[in-house]
Formats: sequence, structure tokens, C-alpha cells
Amino acid sequence: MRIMHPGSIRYAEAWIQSQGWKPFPFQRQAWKAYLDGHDMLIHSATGTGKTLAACLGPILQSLEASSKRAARSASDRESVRQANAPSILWITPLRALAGDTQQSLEFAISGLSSPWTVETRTGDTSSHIKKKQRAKLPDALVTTPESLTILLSYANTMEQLSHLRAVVVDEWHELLGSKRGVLLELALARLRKGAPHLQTIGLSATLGNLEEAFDVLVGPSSQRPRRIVHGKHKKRITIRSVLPQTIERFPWAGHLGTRLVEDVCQAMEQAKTSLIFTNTRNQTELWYQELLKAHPEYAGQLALHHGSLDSEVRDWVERALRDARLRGVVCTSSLDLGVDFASVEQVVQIGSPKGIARLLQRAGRSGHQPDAESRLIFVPTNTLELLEIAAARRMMKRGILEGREPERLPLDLLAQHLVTMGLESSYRRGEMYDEVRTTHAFAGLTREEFDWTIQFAKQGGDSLSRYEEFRRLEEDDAGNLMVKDIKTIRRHRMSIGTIVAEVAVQVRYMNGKNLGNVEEIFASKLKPGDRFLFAGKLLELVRLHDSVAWVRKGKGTPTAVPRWVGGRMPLSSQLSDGIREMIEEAALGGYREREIEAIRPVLELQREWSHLPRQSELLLERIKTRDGFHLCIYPFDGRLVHEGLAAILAYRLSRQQSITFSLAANDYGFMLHSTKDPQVTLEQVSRCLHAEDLESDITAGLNATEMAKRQFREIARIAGLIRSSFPGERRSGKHLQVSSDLIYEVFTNYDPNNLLLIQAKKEVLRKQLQWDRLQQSLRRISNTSLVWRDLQRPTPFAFALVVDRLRERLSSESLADRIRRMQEQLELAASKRKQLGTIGR
Amino acid sequence: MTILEQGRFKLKYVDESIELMPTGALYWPSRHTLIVADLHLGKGTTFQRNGIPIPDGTDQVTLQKLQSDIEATRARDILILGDFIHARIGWNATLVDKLNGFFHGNPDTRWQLVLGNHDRGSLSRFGQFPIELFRAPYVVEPFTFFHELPDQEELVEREFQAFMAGHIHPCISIRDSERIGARLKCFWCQANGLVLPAYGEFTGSHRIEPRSQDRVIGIVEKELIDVTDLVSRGAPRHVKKWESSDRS
Repeated sequence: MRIMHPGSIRYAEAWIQSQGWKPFPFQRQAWKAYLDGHDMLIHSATGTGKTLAACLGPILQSLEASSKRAARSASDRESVRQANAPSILWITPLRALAGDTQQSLEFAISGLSSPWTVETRTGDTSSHIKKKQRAKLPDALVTTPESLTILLSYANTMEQLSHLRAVVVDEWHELLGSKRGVLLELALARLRKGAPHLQTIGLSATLGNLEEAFDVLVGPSSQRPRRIVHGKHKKRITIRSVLPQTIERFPWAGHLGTRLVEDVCQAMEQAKTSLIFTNTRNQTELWYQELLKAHPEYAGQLALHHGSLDSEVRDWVERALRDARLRGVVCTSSLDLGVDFASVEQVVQIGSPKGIARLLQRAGRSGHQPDAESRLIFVPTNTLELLEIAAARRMMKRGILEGREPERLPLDLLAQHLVTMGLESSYRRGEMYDEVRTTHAFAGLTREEFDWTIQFAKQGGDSLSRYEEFRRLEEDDAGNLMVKDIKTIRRHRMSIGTIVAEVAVQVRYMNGKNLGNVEEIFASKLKPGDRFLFAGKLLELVRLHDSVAWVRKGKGTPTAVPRWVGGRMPLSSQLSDGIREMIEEAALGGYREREIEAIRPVLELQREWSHLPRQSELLLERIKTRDGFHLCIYPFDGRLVHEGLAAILAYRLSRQQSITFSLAANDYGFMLHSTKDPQVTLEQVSRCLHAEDLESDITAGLNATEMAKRQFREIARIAGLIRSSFPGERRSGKHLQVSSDLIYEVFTNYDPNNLLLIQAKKEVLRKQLQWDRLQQSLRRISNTSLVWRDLQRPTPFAFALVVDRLRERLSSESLADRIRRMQEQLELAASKRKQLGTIGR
Repeated sequence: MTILEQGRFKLKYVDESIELMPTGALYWPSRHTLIVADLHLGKGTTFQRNGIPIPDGTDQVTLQKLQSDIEATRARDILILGDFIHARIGWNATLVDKLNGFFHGNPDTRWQLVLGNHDRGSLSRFGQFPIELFRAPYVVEPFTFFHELPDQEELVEREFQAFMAGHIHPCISIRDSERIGARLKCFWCQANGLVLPAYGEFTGSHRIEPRSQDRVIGIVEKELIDVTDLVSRGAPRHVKKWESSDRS
């Protein structure tokens, strides 16, 4: 081989060819763009050579630099290396990925004969190694957003990083749209300020808003040329649905349950290894049991994986997957990300994925051998979900995907950051203000908001509310801000980050072995002797003590399955479009897809009894049953938007007449229920569905305070209002235990202008009610014509709403009045019982 | 049920009438005694000193509330069932000033404190105030006062006639048929005594599981409501007979 100039792209290509591969064009593009000084977003599916595309540029650059230096001076390699270090930071959202990334980097580094050292630094790294790293960072460091921020809080870090050339952000699509992403934005702002030559390389899976994702990553004030590099992502994907033998014509959520378990087993027989995705941890436990019950011979070949399991258990499953020792793993989104397992030949998705991107992501977890296709088997949990999967597949083929909306102005996180940056070194207000505004999240931060946040970190609330003994950040006479109290420093460093865990109870065997954790609210309802499914085992509670549920193996049948509070995802906006399109086709007699043909009886019954709406129509059914009057409307805009629409319509209608509504919503539509006849006309309803005064009406129509209180939990934790208990601190920390609800109330009463309260209300609108989508939906509805049907029985569309037990009620009564009314209801019920001669209380 | 003026709620234990107040206090008319539990003064300061920003003002409101209860009942004795002060580090000059002002403003009142677990660190501080300290059980016939309620066997064994206690910060959550929920601080009235709600402004609460013979009087905004029937209960248990005046 001819000796080539190290540092040239040719040199890299020669190495890759020597491995028997051919570099992909997008990799070559990425190397060139990097060497030309571009910021970059590489957009490609996992397992397609993204890591090489990202890391070779910086390695070549350093080889080039050191060969130039070597030409100038006779200094040895070692000193050159030291002069350079560290050169590249690699940020990964999953610490479990850090080890694999380190290996890939080492492979490339040794292949190109670079002298670089690679290390990882995550929550799993020992404090001994962390200390060594603080004194001397490696050339390439693989870390997480949290660990990076903690690293930046040490005084000498920026000095060491001043020659940093590249920061790679892996799986950027996972971080975008979360406060964790903002945590990273703030860290990047700090890095760019201290390392002027820094180039940013983002790696992302397919997203609906790639351009915006790139803007957020580099920040609004970036002057560097930039380039999006499109990699390989058109791996072949097939999606096939399991069609139930009989089609219920009145489907409702979860109704099919685990009845299709045999179909899942059959599918599993056709692949070496299957990942079986469910949408909740609860479902994971149930399906695992059902599969084992149906096929006891799977014991030992079937595993379970979800986020509440102990990391040891999860590690074991991941290792077994890697070694191809398993036939199947029942899992949740906990396996959405991470290393690819070559043995996984297919994915089984149980229940609608609710989004096109999620479907694509999950399908992509299978088929990693060269030229293999990704195969996904869809198992519906109710018949209408077949409509969703057909729509999702069609949109996917058209390349339509969801985007992720970036977070803006999370002051809770800013409050945290302002303390973090003052832990070991001081800063000045003006400089910090300029620095944080170079992030996308805080570009629109006003000086007032910034000063309020500084004040909050310094002395509690603004100058009007007093916090006599509070001091976190201190300002000296020269205007330098810094944290002085040692205890505060130690405590703050341990609480950096945005991941808010619900209060959890550890589940442990009597011998001490940890199985994972369940939520306190579930554990508190258990009594000793109760049996529950967890970690794929039947466990019996022995006792609950100090946040530990002590258990032993149970016998018999479970009395409970833990539920975890978790976001049930609403139907995405793009998928909603697809579904409306499918229904219109059916309305016009088109049953093109196999799944739609299967649910033809449902759709035809809907048309026969009522109507199948076209995209230009909005269907309203007024159904009178023994229970009263049900006003059902179907915009197909996702559950959260429907909850908002239901609240608005109920509120506006109830202002025109005295009436009480119960509300129900699902992904397809919403319902207003009342015991008396709501004397409404088509015109009235359509007049009520407008976007004016939306905010005030929706706040009045929903239990906005309760929602804000819930939202405040996360804010309180991030802003440092609630302390998580740390090991060894349990006892002494007892007098500092407080619930976020109580803090919310105290703020409301004693510091009502606190901006964190306002943030909670804004987050309710944006996250719990999907504010932008709600407005879009109302705009769309105003352009549709309302189709009204008066009916005597629930239609297939209405059925799930009518039986739905989760109802919110719109009430103008005071709490005291409501409680009195409840008493009256109970009285009435009790006296009826007496009249019937049954035994009373 | 007997509801008196100003939303008070009358009960009888061992032939003694007592009045529950919507502020969370309890008045014992025949002894002219106002009873409160769990004020947790200095809690906001404790948090502030630990780097957690909680606004000032909660102590002020707690003491104002107590002052107006004293005036409304014309109580001569005040009995505090523990956790008067949240923690030792909650003391500062402002709190000392406030308490001095408060005790001086009520010169003819007798102050008694049954020590609670949170008061432990403040013993030396209490010396400067006109307040008598007691350890539980503190008996004023027919009642025995506790901060933390001993377990039921001990109560029965030692034949206390009726007890009063704090410590638990009782609350219940109720839901109506339409699933609107609410969490209410409450008086937990058992057959042989009762637990008072936490009186302090900045206090959390703990959900109780009343048994079938218990009654639960909830604080709803500025009113007391008997919410016994709205609470789901555990198994009944054997206790002394209920002797309230209004349950026949």
C-alpha cells in the first residue's frame, strides 16, 4: 500500500477498504463537510455507519494537525497529544450506549493509527475515575448531558476544553423536545463560548422537522456554515397485521385484551428472536404471563424488559439478546433505543403505536443482518386500531413523519443552570445573560425574566416577597455571582438534571435482592399477603417499610398488577390526517388495505346507522339512551385535543343554559353526557367551536388548578424546590420532606407572582392540552360542515365513549356544595337500599 | 349532627362536650381550653436555611389564626399537642420576636405544650417563653393528651378514658361519582378519642384509613363537614363504645 498523507479523506477510505468495506457516499460527504469547517446534522437510521461518518472527520483533522506540528518541531507524539487534548466530546442520551460507542471509536482510532485515548464518563463511572478525569481529560470523551453539565460545573474544566474541536450529539431526536435537550443546549452554549473552534455534529433518526432540529442544536447565533447530510435510511420495512377471527362491531379500548396470544406465539415461531413491544409496563407484565401460560416451554427463552426493572435484570436481558439466547423479549419503549441486536429478526407491536415515527423506530429494531428487511407484526388491542396501523403505514410510505417541538423558556431549568454555573467559579449577570441567549430555548428570554431567575436563585422570589434565610447564589460587591455554601454545592451537584422520577418503592426479596421499583401510590394500596405481578414473577407482599416492599414468591393468582403513571400517547397529528383520509375512502366505498377490508363490517355499520364523515365534514351524533343524552363529536385529533375541545364546548354550552355535563374523550372523538336534554341546535354547536377567547374559556372549563399542580411537580424538582433524598441522607432529611402540591399552595398564597407558577400554567396548556394542535383543530373544524344524526343507540364510533368510565365533569358548584350533594346522593342510595329490604350499613 | 355557631361541630366524649373548629382547633368549653396540634413554626425558615426557597409569611398567618381563635373562644388555656416548632434551625430573631409579641399580647393565658418529636431540638429555647412543657401522656380528666398516638392495645390496656393527639396530620381524599377528587384535612374521631389536623399553614397531610366506627370531619374551605360516609374504609376493629351526643 502506498503511504498516504494521514489526515486526508483518501487515507480514511484506504483504511475502510482494507477492512473489506466500501465507504458510503454520505460518509464521504460528512468527512468533507467537517474538514471544510461545517456544522452538520447527519440523518440516518441506526446501524448504517453513522458513528464512522461522525468520528472520522475529527480524527483526520487531528492527524493532519499533528503531522504539521511534527514537521515544524521534532517533539514526539506524546507531547503533541497532550497539547491537543481533549479534542472530541461524544454525547449520548443513554448511558448504556456509552460503552459501545467507546468501542466503535477505539476501533476507528486504532485503525487510523491515531494516538487518541477514549474514555467514558456517565453516572456509572466510579468517583475515583471521575476524579482522575477532572485532572486530565482524555482526547475523546463519551458522556451524557447530565454528566457533561456536572463536569462543566468544575472550575478547571473549560480551561481543559478550550482546544475542543468537535462535539457529537448522538440520537439528537431523542433529546429534542425535552427539558433534557435544553440542559444540553445550555452546556453547548458554554462549550462554544470557551472553545471558539468547536464544530457541532448531530446524529438523528428521521424526524418531521429536521431543519428545526438542526437550528436548535447549533443555536440561533451560529455563524458557522452548516449542512444536513442524508444517510442511508431506506431499509425495506414490511408491516403485517394479525387480523382477529371475529371482528367486534362495537370496539373499545383494550377490549381484545390478550386474546390474540396464540397469534403472537405463531409469529414468534417464525423468527429467531422477536421483540414484543407493548405500550405500557403494565401490559408488558400481563403479556409476559399470558405467553408463558400458553407456551410453558418458552420458560428460559422469553424475557421481560421495562424501565422499572432493576438495571441488573435489564443488563442481563440485553446481554442475552446480544448473545442470541432468547426467543422473545416483551418490552416497552425501554428498548426503543440502544444497541442493535443482530439476532432480532422481527418486531411484534401490541396496540397502536399512535405515531408514525414510533412505528418506524420500532420496526427498525429488527433485521440488522446485511440486506435483511425490518419486519413488524401488528397485533391490535381493539378492532379500530387496524384503521390506525393502515393509516400509519400509508403515511410512512409517503415519508410523512412527526416532528418534535423544541422546549422554550423553561425557567426551572434556567434556575438550576444559574446555580450550576456558580458552583466553583463566579460569573457576571450580563455575560451569563448573553450566553444563555445563544441557545434556541432561551433566545427569547427577556432581561426581566433573567433577572427574576437570578433573584430567585439568590434570595427566593422577587423583591416584594421575602425569603429571609434563603441563600443559594451569592453576589459580591463587584457583581460576581457564586455559590459559597459547601453543603449547597454538594447537594446541588447531586440533583443536576431533568429526569424526574415518581416517588418509587423498591421491590426486594427477603434476602435483599432488588427486583426494581413500583410507584408509591400502587404500593400503598397493597396489604401484606397481596399477590402482584412484577418483573415477570408472581410476588407476595410480606411488608412495606421505609420505601421498600419486601416480597417473596407468591402462589396462586395475582390480586393486582402494578400500574405506572405514564404518558399514554395521544394519536399524532400526522396519523390523524391519515385516519381521516382512510375514513373518507371508506365513505366512498374504497376498502383498499387488508386491514380496512377486515374492519369493513364495523365501518359499514357506522355508515348504515349514522354516517362516515369525509374530510370536509364533522360528524355529530346525539344519542338518547336510558342513561341520558350523549353528544358525540369525532374530529379524530387525538385524546388530548379532544379533552380540550370537550371542555370548551361544555363550558360554552353551559353558559347558554343551566346544565351539567360529564365529559369523555378518546383518540377519535369526545362526548358530552347530560341527564337532561341539552336543547342545542347544529348552529349553536358550530358557533361554539371557534378559537376566540380560547385560553380563558379552557381555563374556566377545566380543572386548571389541579392540572397546574400536577405540572408543577416536575418544575419544583428541576428548580430545586424539592430535594430527592440521597443515600445516607434519609434520616436527617426528614424535616425537609415536602410535597410539590404544598409548595404550590404556599407559592400561590405567599408569592403569587412567582414565574414558576406561571410556567406551570403555560406547560399545562402546551403539554397537557397540546395548545397549538388544539388551535389548529378548531381552525380546521371551522372549515368543515357539521353532519348531525339523532340516534337511539350508540354507533361503533360512539360505543367506546359511552362506556368509557373516565369522565371529567364540568361543574360550577363550590367544593363544599359538591360534597354536600355527594352526601345527598349517598343518602338517597342508602334509603333505597333499605326500602328494598337489603341489609343496610 | 350538631352544628354550632361559626361552623363549629359539637361532639361528646365521656360526657364532656367538645367543639371542633373549622380552623383545625378544638375547644373544650368546660375547661375554657383551646387545643391545637402541629403548628410547625419555623418550617419555612428551616427550608430556606437548607437552600430551598419557601416564601416567608406562613408563621405569621398561623399565629394570626391562633390569635383569632383565642379571641373567638375567649379561651383561658391553650394546649398544644406537639410539634409547636418544626426544627432547631428554624429559630431566628424574627421568630423569637413574633413569639414574644404573641405571648405578651395574651398575658392572662396559660400555655401548655405536650412535646412532640419536632420540638426535641428546641427544649432550651422554650425556657425564655411562658410555656409549660409536658411529656405525653398528659392527663387532664377525662382526657389524656398525646402528640403521637400510642397503639390501640396500649390505649385499652392503660384504660385511658379518652385521648386526643396530633402528629399524623390526618387528611382524607374523596371522590364523587363523577370522579372529581379533593383532599381535605380532617379531624379523625375514633370511639375513644380523636386526632386533630395539623394547624400550621405550611404543613402537609397524611391520608388516613378510618375504620368503620370512626367518623371523619373534614375541613372544606372555611367549613366543617361530616364526610364519614364519603370515605372508603378498612375492616372494623374492636374498640370502646362510641359515646358522642349526636349519634343515636
